[in-house]
Amino acid sequence: MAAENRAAEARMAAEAIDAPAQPQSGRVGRVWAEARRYPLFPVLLLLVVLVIPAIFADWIAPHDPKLGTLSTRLLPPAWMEGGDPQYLLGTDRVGRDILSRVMHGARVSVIIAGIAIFIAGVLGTTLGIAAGYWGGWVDALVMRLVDISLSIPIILLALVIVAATKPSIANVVLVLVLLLWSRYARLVRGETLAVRVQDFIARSRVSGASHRRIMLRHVFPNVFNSVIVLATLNVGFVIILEATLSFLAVGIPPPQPAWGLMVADGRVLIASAQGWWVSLFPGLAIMLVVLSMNLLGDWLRDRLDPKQRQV
Amino acid sequence: MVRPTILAAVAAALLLVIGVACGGTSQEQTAPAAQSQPEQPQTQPQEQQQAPAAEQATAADPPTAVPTVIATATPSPTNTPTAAQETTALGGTLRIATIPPVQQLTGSWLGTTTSANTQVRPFTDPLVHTDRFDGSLVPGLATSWKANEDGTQWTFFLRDDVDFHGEWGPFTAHDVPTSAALIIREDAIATDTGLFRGLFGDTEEELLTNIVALDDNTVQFNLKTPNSLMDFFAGAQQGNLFVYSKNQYETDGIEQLQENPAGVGPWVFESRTIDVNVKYTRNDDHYRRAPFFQAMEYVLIPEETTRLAQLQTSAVQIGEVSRELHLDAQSSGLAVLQSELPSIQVAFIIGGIYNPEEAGPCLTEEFQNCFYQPDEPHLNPMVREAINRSINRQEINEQLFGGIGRQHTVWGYHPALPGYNPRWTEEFDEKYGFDPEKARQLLQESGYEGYKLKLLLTELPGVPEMIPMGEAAFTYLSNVGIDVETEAIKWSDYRAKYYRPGKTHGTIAATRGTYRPADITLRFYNRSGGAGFWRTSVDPMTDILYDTATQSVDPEVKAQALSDLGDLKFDLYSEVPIVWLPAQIVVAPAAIGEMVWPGNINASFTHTEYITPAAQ
Amino acid sequence: MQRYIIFRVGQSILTLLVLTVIVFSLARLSGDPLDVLLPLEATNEDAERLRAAWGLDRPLYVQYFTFIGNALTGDFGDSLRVRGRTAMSLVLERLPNTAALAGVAVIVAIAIAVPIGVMSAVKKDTAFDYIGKLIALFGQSLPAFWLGLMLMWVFAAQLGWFPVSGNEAGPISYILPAVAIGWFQVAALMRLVRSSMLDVLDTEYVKLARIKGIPEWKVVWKHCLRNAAIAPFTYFALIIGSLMVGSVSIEFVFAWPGVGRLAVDAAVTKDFPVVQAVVITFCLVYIIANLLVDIAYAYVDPRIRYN
Repeated sequence: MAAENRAAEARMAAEAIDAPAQPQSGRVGRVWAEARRYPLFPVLLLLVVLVIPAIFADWIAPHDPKLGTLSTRLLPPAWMEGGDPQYLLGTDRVGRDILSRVMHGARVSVIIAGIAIFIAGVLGTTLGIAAGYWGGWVDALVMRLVDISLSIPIILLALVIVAATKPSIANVVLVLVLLLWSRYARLVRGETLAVRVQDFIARSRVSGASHRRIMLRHVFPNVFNSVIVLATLNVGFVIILEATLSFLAVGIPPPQPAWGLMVADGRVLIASAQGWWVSLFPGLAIMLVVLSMNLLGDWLRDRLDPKQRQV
Repeated sequence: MVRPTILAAVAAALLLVIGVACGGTSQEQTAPAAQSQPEQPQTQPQEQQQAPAAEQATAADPPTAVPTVIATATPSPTNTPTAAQETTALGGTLRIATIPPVQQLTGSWLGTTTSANTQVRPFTDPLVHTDRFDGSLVPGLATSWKANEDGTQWTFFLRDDVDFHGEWGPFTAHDVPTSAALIIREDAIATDTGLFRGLFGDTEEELLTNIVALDDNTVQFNLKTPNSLMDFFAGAQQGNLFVYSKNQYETDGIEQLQENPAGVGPWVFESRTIDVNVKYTRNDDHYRRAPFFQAMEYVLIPEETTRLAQLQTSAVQIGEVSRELHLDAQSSGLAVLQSELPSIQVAFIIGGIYNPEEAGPCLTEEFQNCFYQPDEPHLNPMVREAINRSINRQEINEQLFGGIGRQHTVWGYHPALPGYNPRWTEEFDEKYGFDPEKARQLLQESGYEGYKLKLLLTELPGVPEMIPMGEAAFTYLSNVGIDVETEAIKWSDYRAKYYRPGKTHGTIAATRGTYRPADITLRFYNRSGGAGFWRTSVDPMTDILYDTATQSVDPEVKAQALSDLGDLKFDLYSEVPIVWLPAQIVVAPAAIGEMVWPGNINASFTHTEYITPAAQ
Repeated sequence: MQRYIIFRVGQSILTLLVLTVIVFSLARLSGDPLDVLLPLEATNEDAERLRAAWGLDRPLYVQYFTFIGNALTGDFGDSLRVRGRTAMSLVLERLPNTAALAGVAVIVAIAIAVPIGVMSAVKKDTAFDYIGKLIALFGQSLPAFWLGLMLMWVFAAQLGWFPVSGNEAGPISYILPAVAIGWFQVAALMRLVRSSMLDVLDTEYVKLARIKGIPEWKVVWKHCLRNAAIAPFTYFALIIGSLMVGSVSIEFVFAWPGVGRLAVDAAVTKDFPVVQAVVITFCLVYIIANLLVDIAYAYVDPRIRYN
């Protein structure tokens, strides 16, 4: 484990500076290159599917996301036979409006992904910088913790945590933080090792800067880009994991409108003519957001941190 | 079976990014395609007796006979078993797809009566058999039985022509005490463990002095307290007392008995793989009915859609499929089979109507003064009535249960079972009918308008609708102004955190029960003293009435006590009864000829030996 | 070298020991198995009796040391849910199924990710790069159970090309679940392959090969890929981790008799011995695999032995 970071780091050090962009071939290539310069498509999608609903759900959602009536149960989307124009994307097994739930679900996703990634990022980055900067026993301790965290099957951990308490958003966040922090710690530690040996660090140490100041002012800015890229790429993973936790009934508790919960809840009807729409629309929302987030992350990475290799 | 072009298109679409969106349309096209299947479920005349939805509001469908108390039954001619009837049509392997049971067992002492009935009953028999049409107790291993006057001594007269599978010799009365002793083992977790310990003693030695073989064909049960239902516990749908070989137990030990149990059932246990399957082969020589199929296999599959797909691809012939998918099943040529018996009762339990510390007056007396939570709103019958009136039972039945439900008036009671008072049926609409206005008014009058209620969303096997029903209740209760908070919780956690420690005050939760004599259900809900029981509503009066009912072998006394107890529960709104349901499973008519299924909980398959393959 | 190996083994043992404490206490925190396993009609007295019979009434530290002592001999106790079976026998019965499925899933992932990764590195910023990325990302943008159910419904239930569930139909039954699990890994693998390909394509060594006139396809697929393929191995640990996440739900969807399902069922029923056996087994596999990777690395690249 530790060695593999060292290996990557050694490889990095051995490699030349930035790879110049590959020569682009053909007109099509150039168009794509242009389009890739600004990821308009993913950003637009994110705005429509995630950001706007998350902010304005209270005003634009046509119905209460938690209340439904059995008499409007499992109505198909409005354009289909038997659909009701009041319920554009149909209703779920308890008669709640799916469109409203998808909109409010965006907020839950933003909250969960935001909080979990923020905490994991701060925790992982701090420990990673400390480990990389100090080395020695600090490094050994942090890397052992990383090892432990990586070798515990996270699903089991989630089940046990929820069994010990009860399903809640806080628990989902806790599980996600426990899962994610080690990825940041690994990444940041590796980058810190590479930064630490550079001349400017030594220079500022000579000129009397404290360790804390060096870590904050010199190391942190140098690893920040990688962290941002990883955070962006993690959003999708978080949303998918939330769904998996709901599948195992340890995710966000009903009747909260969370996408993963909605998909997991509607899976019985996933191939049924009676209710395929229950899981399809939240599923589509997940897919679009995860796709756009990943495209955005890839774009950011090419921009900010072309050397990074993250899973 | 399929339209290759459409499906190939679907397959291709799935591989493409946005192809997922096509899922909807393609399903719509394939469903009618499957409908053009030639065979319609003509082959099952018995099961299609579901009444039109409109009629559901009235009384329940009564089974013709009932598990009753005293019985000195003599085998009726139709039931006279002729050894090893030759079978006409022998099918191959009967495959049944079910949800993997939590308890996968071969020992009847290791799980609930439901688990035992499904997994043990194929390979061995209880003393008393049940009729597959009406659930009544009929001769099986015991040809007849009798109780003494005060219900403390029960004697069973046994067949002398039954052999254990394999080399374990004939079945005799001496096998019965050994089998009963298994139920009270230190590590036993059977439904009846506590009951048997109470009736016959805590130790094997003591039990063996109370259950004795008088001769090879007579066994006597001496009970420490009178019990009117010993014949029910000695077999029936819901007992743990299955017959194991004393010979095998003493020769091989308990491990081998579990690994490779010999029985006297219509099927011979072959093998099991945990969470995968259980396999049985035909016992060609069964005294009651040698199966029509060569072999039987339970295929254990957790996901609904997967079980349905197994049925659609003919990989299994019978499957447990949730009601929501029944239309899909039917449109692909499968048939929905309904149990012969009412099977499942569904209700909401109002928490906090008992005192866990001491059985003080609770349900009946002045409710304000006697409880450990004096400000508990649920102690006020007006609040309980309000809850009952806020729930739209008809809508739940029609929307969630497809209208198959029958009226349920008092938790634990069914019109076909002893102790039912017809008054409850007559007055139900008037006292319990859906009336949000009245509910709001009652809450106002009681001073508990807008009180905080915790709605626990939990689920028990057999009724997947319990969660949607809970979520619907969220709407109903919110609509009458109650401040409802929901908590999704696993049943075991509900039990651990709420009812076992006696902390159900301020909560409401859905539950389901089975079809069985009322006092068996009430023992768990309305009798004080059983620390660990749910005890939904308990007080000294219900205790007295319960004890009278359970201990009396006089049917009239028993029925009267039960009826009085039910009156209390009915008039004081002790629970929120919702509906009686038949159990339902899906069968492939192309493969299954006749199947009569008494049903218990959905996946409790019994009488599988009578299932015939479809005529070729 | 020997010292390095001894050091690493020592570290691993320490990790394992800490894990046993965590797993043991987490398992106890999760609640009482009796609440799951006892019938509704059981009284508190019944619960006490069973607690004693199962040794759950002893002080926690006694239980822990008993557990550690027995675990050293490979005995993790009897399963509470499946009476009459030892926890380890259940795990060992399932492990091959999960390992085989994971193996096939990784092969599927590689089979999709490597060509896409290589081509999108070679044809960086072209439409090919973009579309390849979309295909790779698609697998990651759906919950595995959703994808699994759809695959099953279309290819098994409707088309009948594959068995619906279980592993009894032989190799063919691996395909659908492996695709559902493997596809999720494609995006990650593809990224790794792509970025390390980009690095390698730029090295002097490749330039030299080009100058020497070796055909381009040979440069790409032989010389570059061979070097680029090392990088993904360093991420073995993370890949194994997320493979577990996906495979658990897939084991449910396809009724696959794997360890993931066993673990979830054990956690839900609070079957402590099985939970412990699964976690320790999983950690052992993880630790040993990592150890091997590290040691292999140390042999290949002496620079990392500086510690």
